Amino acid sequence: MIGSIALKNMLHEPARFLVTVAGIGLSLVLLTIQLGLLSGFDRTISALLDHAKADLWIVPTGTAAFDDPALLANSERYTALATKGVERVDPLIVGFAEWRRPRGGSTSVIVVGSDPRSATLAPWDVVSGKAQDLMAPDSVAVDETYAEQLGVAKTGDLARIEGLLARVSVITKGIRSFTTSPYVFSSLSQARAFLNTDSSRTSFLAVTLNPAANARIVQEKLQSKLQNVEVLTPAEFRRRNVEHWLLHTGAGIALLGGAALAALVGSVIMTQTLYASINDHRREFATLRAMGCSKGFLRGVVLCQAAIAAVAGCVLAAVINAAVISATADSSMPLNVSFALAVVLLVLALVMSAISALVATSKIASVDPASVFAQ
Amino acid sequence: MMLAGPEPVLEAHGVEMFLGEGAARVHALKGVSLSVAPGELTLLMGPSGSGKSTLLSILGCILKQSKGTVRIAGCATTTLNTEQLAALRREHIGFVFQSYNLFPGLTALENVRTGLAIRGRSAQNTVEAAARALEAVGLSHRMKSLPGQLSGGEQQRVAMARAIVASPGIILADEPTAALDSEAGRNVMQQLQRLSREQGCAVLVVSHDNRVLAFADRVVGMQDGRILSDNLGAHSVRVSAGPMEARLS
Repeated sequence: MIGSIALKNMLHEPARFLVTVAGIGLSLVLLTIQLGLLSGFDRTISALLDHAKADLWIVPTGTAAFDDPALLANSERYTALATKGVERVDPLIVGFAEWRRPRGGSTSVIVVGSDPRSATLAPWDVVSGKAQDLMAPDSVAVDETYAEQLGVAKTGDLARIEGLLARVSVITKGIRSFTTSPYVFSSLSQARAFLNTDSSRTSFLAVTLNPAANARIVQEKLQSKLQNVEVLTPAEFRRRNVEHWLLHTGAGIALLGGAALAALVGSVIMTQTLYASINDHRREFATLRAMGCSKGFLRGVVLCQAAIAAVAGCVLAAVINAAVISATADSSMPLNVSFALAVVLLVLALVMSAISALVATSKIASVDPASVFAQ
Repeated sequence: MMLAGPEPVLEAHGVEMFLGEGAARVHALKGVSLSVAPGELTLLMGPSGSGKSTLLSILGCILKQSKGTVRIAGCATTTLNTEQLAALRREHIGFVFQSYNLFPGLTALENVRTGLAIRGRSAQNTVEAAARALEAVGLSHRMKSLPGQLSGGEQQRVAMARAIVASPGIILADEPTAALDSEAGRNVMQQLQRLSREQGCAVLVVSHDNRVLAFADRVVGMQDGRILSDNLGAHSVRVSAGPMEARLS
């Protein structure tokens, strides 16, 4: 009966119900877009680190982000290799370079070079060519998202990086950059050539441990043996990378601020909408109270009413979000709405609706039941 | 005032009520004493501001008096908290409001069922009992109608069915005929009269509508927060109200 009262209370006035559902749905869409963007950026920022094969990273001291490193002496690699518990140490070169389009014009790119045989950081989600094709001279891998920006469309297309020939051998789908500079993958030696870096220098060292080694102990050993470097676990490097882009750059702060504001505005709109909807039925609730209805029964009706509105709002938001996610999937700013995030949003909607319902209930419970009598 | 015969189910002794604070403080009831027995239809009359609705709210355990005692079915209300008072209302009192206060989205049957649902009755039982209550007020043919599809008189009868569905010993009706035409008003009063006579309910009706005098066993007159008259002679009331009753027909 509680559910029936709640449902029919709301459905009796379809226009008001639709306004409530629209308010909740749109506030959830706002939340989803902001949190989805944030999650998408987190994934984009960390994509390369998440796909790299390393148990530990050796990085120049003070490295703030993966995309903008200083250079290490390659000799550190041999010191690391001589450390107990270390199985492999693979150099990685990362740096900004100028990409010259075949039909004129240029753009900035981030060159990522690694040994294709070690597969420390090979391009993934390949849609044309093979990662091993990068072993050929001048070969590079680019992502189809940036085809227009780079002025190339297919494997075999030619461009120039810092004046050197670059042949598109591999095309990937979905490897995006947080900055406006696309990633360009190549072999280690080719990257060194593009970046004009001699073979004694490297950006990072990716350390692979023996299966029996304790990562924390090896990390401490490496840190004590190596000078002017930091030895980080993948999680530490990832966190540093994300924090740099999100907390120490204007774009990141704007994004975080936007997400926080959206969360606040969305929550307020949703709470206010539900509260107003419940408040509209104060007279009926006061009547129930006058008839001797317990506070528990009243809360049950109001909570049920809020849950119905929240679930209907979630359904509306899901439909709109699906369209937005689909529309942005191939863009450089994709929404990343994982199952976990969807669950978080649903729980958030239900919690906020419950809070607003309880706030409204306390107001309704304090309504003077005598108000239903003629004065 | 006590009646001879059955024990009163509704008693107020020396009830005083202050409303508001400071300069706006009003002495709404000034030592009111009243008893209503089962099977009696009592009419509480008086001009606006005389304290009728305040007294009804106190007798209905909705407001708590400032001074004095109130007993509902033998239970003193003075020390009860709001939830205990609500429980007392559920247990013993059915309400009929001037503006019906039906849920507009619920059918007549469902509205009546709320009277049982708030008392924790299971769904199956409430359907049958609600149908019987609607039948008792002559609305078995309008069970599936929404309030908006019913006339004012029919809505008030649905409200009455909701009030009686749990078989309370006391019915409190606040201006039940104020929004109704003569025919509908007479019908509602006849139903209330039948409840008191056939089911033994103590019915207290607040009204300033002289047309309802004909149905009262007793008329209590209020003014300025005091009971001015208490006419226990039902017959004499009926005699004096003859022309009013004639107007209703």
